[in-house]
Amino acid sequence: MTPLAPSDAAEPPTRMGEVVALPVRRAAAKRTDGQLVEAAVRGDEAAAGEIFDRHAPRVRRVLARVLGPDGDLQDLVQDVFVFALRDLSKVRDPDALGAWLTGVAVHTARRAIRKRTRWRWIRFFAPEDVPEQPSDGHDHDASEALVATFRILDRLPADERIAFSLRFLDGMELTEVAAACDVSLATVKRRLRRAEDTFRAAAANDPALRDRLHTDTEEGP
Amino acid sequence: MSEPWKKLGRELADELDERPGEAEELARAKQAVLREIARPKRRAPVVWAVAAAAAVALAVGVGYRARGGDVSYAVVTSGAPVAAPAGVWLDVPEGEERAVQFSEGSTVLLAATSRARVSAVRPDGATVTLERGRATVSVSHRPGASWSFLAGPFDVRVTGTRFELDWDPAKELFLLAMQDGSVRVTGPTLGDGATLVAGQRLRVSLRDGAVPAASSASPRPSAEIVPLPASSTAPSDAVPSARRAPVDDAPPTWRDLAARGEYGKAMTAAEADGVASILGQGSAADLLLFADVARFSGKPALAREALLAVRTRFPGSQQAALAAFSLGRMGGGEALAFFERYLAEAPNGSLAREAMGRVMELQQAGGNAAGARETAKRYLARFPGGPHAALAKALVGAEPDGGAGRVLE
Repeated sequence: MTPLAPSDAAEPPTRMGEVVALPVRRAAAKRTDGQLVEAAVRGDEAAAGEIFDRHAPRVRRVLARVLGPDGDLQDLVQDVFVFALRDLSKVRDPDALGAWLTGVAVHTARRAIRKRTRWRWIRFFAPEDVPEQPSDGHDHDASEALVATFRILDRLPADERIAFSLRFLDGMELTEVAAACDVSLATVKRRLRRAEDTFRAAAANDPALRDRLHTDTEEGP
Repeated sequence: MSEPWKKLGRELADELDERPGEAEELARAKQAVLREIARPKRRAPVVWAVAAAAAVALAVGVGYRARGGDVSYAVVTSGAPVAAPAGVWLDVPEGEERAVQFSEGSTVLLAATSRARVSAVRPDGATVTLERGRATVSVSHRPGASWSFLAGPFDVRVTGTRFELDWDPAKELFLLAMQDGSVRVTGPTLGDGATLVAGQRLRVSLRDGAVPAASSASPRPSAEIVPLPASSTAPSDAVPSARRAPVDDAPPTWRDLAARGEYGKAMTAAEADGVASILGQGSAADLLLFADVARFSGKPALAREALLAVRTRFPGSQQAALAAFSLGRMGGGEALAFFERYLAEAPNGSLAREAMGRVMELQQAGGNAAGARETAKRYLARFPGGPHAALAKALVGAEPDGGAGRVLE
């Protein structure tokens, strides 16, 4: 590996606790994903950085949509890229790097979900214990709906949750969800159906979601 | 997908995307990734302590970075970032935690009421002194790394590992539980020192040689190293043979199984041990863990019994407050009283924000509009950006005679 970029090394010292926005270095000519993968496998750190710059926002979005607003996103983004950049030689289709990284992100999110269940004592929203709020007949803002949504998603098995999140929150096509989860289309449909049933039933009792979904009449995602 | 589902999905996705600080977060992640892939592979890239610390760091917008030379560090809390120059003592308040995040990725998570300081920083690591309490340590594995953790008269030398370290100066009790890697410990009763590897636990009592463990060995040794789970891969020559406890073939305890998340098996093992014995004689931590096991193995009544046992047997303790919160979360007619009890016992506890939000919700649900408004005012004063802030604002803005249902305009 080559040393860190000069622009990083030349940064002035910062105070402890200070938030630092690092400069994002751009390549002079845009390389394809395939070219970047090839270069990164050879040990070109600039190419590795470019892969990060190009795909990290999407990876972060996938993680956020599966894990919710309280996910340890920075750590998980790091996990995804440390794993991916070390295993780039295993990418079968370098030009489909984005889809492969989405798959790695989904795998990482699944691990995080399973790890979370072991530390439920310190979580704020215990899935099965949250008392239902009574209906107050008023609209709730999106942040409440978001909390309510992830409170329900926390009850789902990891695979169902992931499929539902990618379809419902990320808007992926069914084939994309199947590819990201590395399962067949039929399996994804089964998972979505189960997840939807659970979500629909729970949403019907949650004032933050009930009115938004009209769950008694509408078809699901 | 039908239109209401699509619309809600888009709204929620937008809400998720509005989280501030993404650019800075990704910049930090990129720096860490490039630093990490330049190193040889390590066994555990991220551990829960690091994740917890990073989550807290993100929540308060704390950043850090290596500056060359010595490692640097920042202390992050659930409240505000604290800059702590080397040598300053960190006193962790009751009901809170402190995470010390080092620039090269290592983390020390200090439990409530602990007292510790980073007594020295070097290019290859740091020295951390734990005066009392518990530290959950994750040291990044790097070539040449050198870390030292001082607890009373004991010195734990580390290159890259995860472990929990306890030092109780009043009882002169030293506890070390290894999760990953290996450490070298020197101190009283340890002769030339002892090497511990993943899966082992060391207990040393300096006061009277007693070991407060389940071991019934007689005479009791003053120091004991035992494997944690039965599947421990600890090499047989990792510790001085004179101090190795004869429990290598012991089956995993319910605690071991619970720690692995195997709650059903943990419950079976606990029942074999005797639930009455656990409820009547277990420590507060054991009871909380057992309540966890009971809940996740589908026995909420038993979980409640364990939590009530914490409250009756350990009144006034941090665990009793936590038990109150957990009892509140379990719902039922007493939920409100338990959340209020938590707030009374741990007003600045790490769950105070959530407890107050729950109190507000339950007051509103119970028709106590005036009480809910008062709680909402207190909530907004303390947690203006909290997850219940929208509800609190609506409650505060509602007319006094508007009834509990009229909350959101």
